[in-house]
Amino acid sequence: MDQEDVSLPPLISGVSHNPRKRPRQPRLSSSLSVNSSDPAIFSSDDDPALDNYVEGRQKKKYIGSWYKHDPASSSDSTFGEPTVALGPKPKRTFRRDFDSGVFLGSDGTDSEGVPEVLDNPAKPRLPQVVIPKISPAEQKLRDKIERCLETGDEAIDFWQMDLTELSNDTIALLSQFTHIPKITKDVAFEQKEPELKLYLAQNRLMRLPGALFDVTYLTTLSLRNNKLTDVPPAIGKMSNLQQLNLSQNRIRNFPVELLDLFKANSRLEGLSLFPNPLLLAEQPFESLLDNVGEEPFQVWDGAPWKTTENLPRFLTRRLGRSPVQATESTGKITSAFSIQSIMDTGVVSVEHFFNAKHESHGSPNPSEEPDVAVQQQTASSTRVPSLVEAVMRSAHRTPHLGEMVSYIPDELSHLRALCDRAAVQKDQGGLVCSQCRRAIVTPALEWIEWREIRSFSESTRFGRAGKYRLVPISVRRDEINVPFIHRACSLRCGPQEQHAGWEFPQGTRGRTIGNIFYTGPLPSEEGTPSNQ
Amino acid sequence: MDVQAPSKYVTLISSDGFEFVVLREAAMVSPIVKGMLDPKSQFAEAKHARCVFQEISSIVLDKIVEYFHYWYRYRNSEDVPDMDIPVEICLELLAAADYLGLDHVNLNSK
Repeated sequence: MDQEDVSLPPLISGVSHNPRKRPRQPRLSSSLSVNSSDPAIFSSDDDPALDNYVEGRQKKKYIGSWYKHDPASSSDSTFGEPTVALGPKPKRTFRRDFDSGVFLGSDGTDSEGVPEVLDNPAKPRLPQVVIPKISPAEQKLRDKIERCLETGDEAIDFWQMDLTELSNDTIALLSQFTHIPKITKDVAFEQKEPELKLYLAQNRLMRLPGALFDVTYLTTLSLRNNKLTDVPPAIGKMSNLQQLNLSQNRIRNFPVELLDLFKANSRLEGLSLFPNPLLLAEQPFESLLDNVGEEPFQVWDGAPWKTTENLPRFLTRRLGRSPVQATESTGKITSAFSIQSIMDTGVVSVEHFFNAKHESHGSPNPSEEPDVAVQQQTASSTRVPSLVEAVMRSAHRTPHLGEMVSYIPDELSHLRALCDRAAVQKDQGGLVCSQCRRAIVTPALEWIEWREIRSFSESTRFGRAGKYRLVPISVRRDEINVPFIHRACSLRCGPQEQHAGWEFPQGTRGRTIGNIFYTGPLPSEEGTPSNQ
Repeated sequence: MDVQAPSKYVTLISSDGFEFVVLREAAMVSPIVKGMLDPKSQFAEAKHARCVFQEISSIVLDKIVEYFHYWYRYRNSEDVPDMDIPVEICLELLAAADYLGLDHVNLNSK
């Protein structure tokens, strides 16, 4: 066909191109025929009714494949000089046909205005929503959780999967978990709360997402052998937890909110806190391993707990506390003692020993000499937060905290640091005042308090009900005193003089003097009830 | 104003000209305002008990004045409600609070 094309004379436009068809005379003049539009209609024309229809609008008619026609030489006959292509036709290259009307305004006159290479787009002024990327390991976990959600599998096993971070979004999936009941014949359908078990042992987690503590149905949480440096205070919210394993991490102290798990209505049975590089007291506490489990705890009025619900499983007692760190709302530490500075050595001096001799009854220790500055401030303290703190608490409640940072000018970098810190805290579930449980951003006071934890169980060894034993959760000497960090919103929530006896958690009745445990009134009214 | 008997109220003026009349004792919570209005000093602000804040708009200053009274009212009480701060002014208020030195929790309540 190509060869045939070459031999053909240049085509007249508007005429069918098919060589087999006889060329038709153009009805109109050639100037109009190049125009693809309909011919103009004037009022003097005949009525364009169907009666006057003579011939349809002329149309280019092609028969055969497009490549059999030669558009390059024929379509634009107005401008194209009849060219004679010799030999095999060269391939058409894409080029701008300036007059084709396709590339409007691109006739080369405005090219100066448009840079050849576009610069990087200007940084958007409004903060953009950053879609966090998740690591492949976390994606695996997410898939696993989704699979478990579908099958109703309550144990999510994610051992040794090289998980380095865990985002809130992944864990939030777990809150949707519902128990899938087994349908058996003749067994009444009953609704049951799911009992989720999450095993994240042997990973490389450095921090925990706050959403983890909102998963109400979590009963087992294993974080053994990770790289956690601290435990968020939100852990106290997990009231359904039965097993908690925090061993083999890098934890220096526990939040005092962990003790909420010992409350009367909590179900905690197993607790592993060791080994961890916990903060040690500079001065030793009294010999604590004496009488371990030797003497039974006696019930004074012969009425042991009627129900086992109120039976505490763990009892704690205070041993001593460190000096207090005072912080301004902007994060500046004003006291001589700083918790951050002791993290390296891991040894803290003890400012105040709780007097173990007067168990159960708080007695002010005359030898104690607290920081004079702190004492003075306590006298004239107020519970009203500073305005900076009040603003930060408001910002903390809104979802826009993370965006605020980008608006802070460079001159106020200390405020930016404050916002950054608040955002990190929020991500982990926020801080609360250990005393009044108010949500706070910057604790005004922080101090370490050492406590001894013992598990509390009814003794069968002595053959009689109503006798209880306190068993240490660890027999290693340096693991007896467990450091807990206290945070306070104001000086009025600061450290107070409290008794050093075995403390019964909230919701359980009872108090102890020596090894005797009282559920009723004390034998003599020598002191006020020191416990709830 | 008489230096010996400072007025009970002081006037704080925002950048857009709004005047807020505040109890002097309440405004003293800010060390900056306190310094400006110290009767012993010879500042013009102290003489006339008027402080003009060119950097603080009336919306923000309104909130600051609210805080002064909030602090004054609850400084000795045990149960302190949260102050309501709209999120739109959080940043400006944060910067203003920092400027006015309102970052101490342990404010003297004499």
